[in-house]
Amino acid sequence: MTRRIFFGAAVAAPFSIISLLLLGLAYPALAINVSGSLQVSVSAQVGPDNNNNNNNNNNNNNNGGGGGGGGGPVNPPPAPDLFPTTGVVFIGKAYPSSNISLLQSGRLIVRTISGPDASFLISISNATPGTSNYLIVAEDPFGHQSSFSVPVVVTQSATTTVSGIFIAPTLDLSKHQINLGDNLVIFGRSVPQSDVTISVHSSTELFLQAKADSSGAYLYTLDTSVLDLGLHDVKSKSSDQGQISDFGQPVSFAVLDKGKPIEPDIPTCGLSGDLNGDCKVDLVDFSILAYWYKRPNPPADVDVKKDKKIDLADFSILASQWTG
Amino acid sequence: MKKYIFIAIVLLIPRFVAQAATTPSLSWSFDQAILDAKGQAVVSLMISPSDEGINAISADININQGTARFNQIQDGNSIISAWIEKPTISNNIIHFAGIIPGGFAGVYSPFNKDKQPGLVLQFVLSTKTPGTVSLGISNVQAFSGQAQALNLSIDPQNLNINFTKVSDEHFSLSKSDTTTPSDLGLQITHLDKDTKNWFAVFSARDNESGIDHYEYQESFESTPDPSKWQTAESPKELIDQSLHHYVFVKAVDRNGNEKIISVQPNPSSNSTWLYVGIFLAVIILLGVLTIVRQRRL
Repeated sequence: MTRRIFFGAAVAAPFSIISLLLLGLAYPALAINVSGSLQVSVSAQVGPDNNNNNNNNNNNNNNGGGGGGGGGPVNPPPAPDLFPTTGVVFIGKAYPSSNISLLQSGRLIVRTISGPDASFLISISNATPGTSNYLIVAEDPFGHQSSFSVPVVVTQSATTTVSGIFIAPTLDLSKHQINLGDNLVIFGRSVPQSDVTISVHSSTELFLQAKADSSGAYLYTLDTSVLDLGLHDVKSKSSDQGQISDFGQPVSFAVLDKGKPIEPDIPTCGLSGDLNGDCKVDLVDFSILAYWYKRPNPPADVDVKKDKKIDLADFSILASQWTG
Repeated sequence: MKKYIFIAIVLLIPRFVAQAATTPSLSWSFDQAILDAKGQAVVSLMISPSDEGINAISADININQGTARFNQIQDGNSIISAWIEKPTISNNIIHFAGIIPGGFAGVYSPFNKDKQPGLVLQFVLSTKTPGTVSLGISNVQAFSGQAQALNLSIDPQNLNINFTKVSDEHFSLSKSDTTTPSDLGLQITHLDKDTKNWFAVFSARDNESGIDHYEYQESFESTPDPSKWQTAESPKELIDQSLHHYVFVKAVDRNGNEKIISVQPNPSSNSTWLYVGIFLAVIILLGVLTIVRQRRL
């Protein structure tokens, strides 16, 4: 299908992105010094202009890393500005060299790449004061995604720093249908050398342990003979230097009786909420679902929950898979 | 035996406390100072912080007792990122449905150690007769994760507001909103893999009063005609499926501030072949006419 998408000129206009800076090896301790919890700090910020992006970012790092808030910039601002900008800085870790997208109210506002140690830093200016819904979506090199929701109070004429963000690991399976007793490979990406806990939801929940390698990849081979027949969910979370991520979105698989024929996996993006087939879940998919909301006889490929109706539950699945 | 019961209680208490701390709930309150001064109640509906990550919610707010009416709604600073059904007043009931991509587990604030509740919407309630008005919330649906139903508690179950002063004065929640909507985006796209029709998909944000509605028009001109705006909702099926018109969308906030976005006609649309066909037909016609004229001569 040929499709043309036009983007309006005003989409990104309200946000002038001061800069994006990878933490990489330069700030290895910055994102992990919050001892296991996400922290938010606010600091006054003066002199930010587009010609001094690097200074601005360094100031953010110094303040955000302390986590205490209120500490003044270490480097003196080069050009004092009587109208300080309202900024937000996000510091955290995801997977090495992965795409990190920052969304506000479901809309992409900036994208960057994490460093080899999985750390990232995103700094935006001219943010809107008040409560803003930010969503950080990380995508590993294989296109698997995981997200972290950060509704945050943005303070006017100051920089709000959110540090300690730890995005859940990505997860995929070697097969989504498997015969009882065959081996199932569970794999994904997380922070290098982190400890990954894999939960397999069966009649009794199994907790499996894996270790991410230096590239952040982890893998566990599960002997399915310990599982019951039927559908199972598997999800994973990660632990690194005292920080623990949330569980990522679960992935389902079916255990069939021995010898029962298995349908080959249909190559998809793995996103049931991707209704227009562009491997993204965004406002277009939302609009499609909204179009069919509470209408009779929705098309089968729009019915995300497969219950022959479009209701709030379908939107819940869409919201859980949002990529922007 | 008592010893075991004691140990069991000691072991269970933290479990229940922990569960209570993570159970999502709806809470609401009103501004007593505005009620005393203006005789109108400004009510805020919030979602509490929780570990569940609510990502879809719908509910109705209604008047259980007393005579009052809902005057206006403000959703500009809402944690709801996309409204499936915008909060509207119909038959003196406020209904809404919306989603929070990624889920809502609480607002992070630099001024509080703990996560804070998130605002769903605010509304103004007024009455013409002094007395107590009791509000209730019904038809609550909420989900987290991949359509996992949540049982939300409501705190308090009924919100009782005692009107001692009555005022006819119009109290506006959005009086100070002079900024235009932001993040107005417009895409022209197919809605699914099978249908060929083009749709306009649009959305905007207004952090103060909230988006009231959208207006739409298609035009051959590069500027919109002020008399041709029509109220529309996203997705809007394009009138000109050949994509030869400019498409304009206007977002209007609840205080009347506007912002317009446009998409240019697509020069490489399929109907270009139509024009090529017409051109060739004209050439052939001219050729035939020339031959006929030469034969007559």
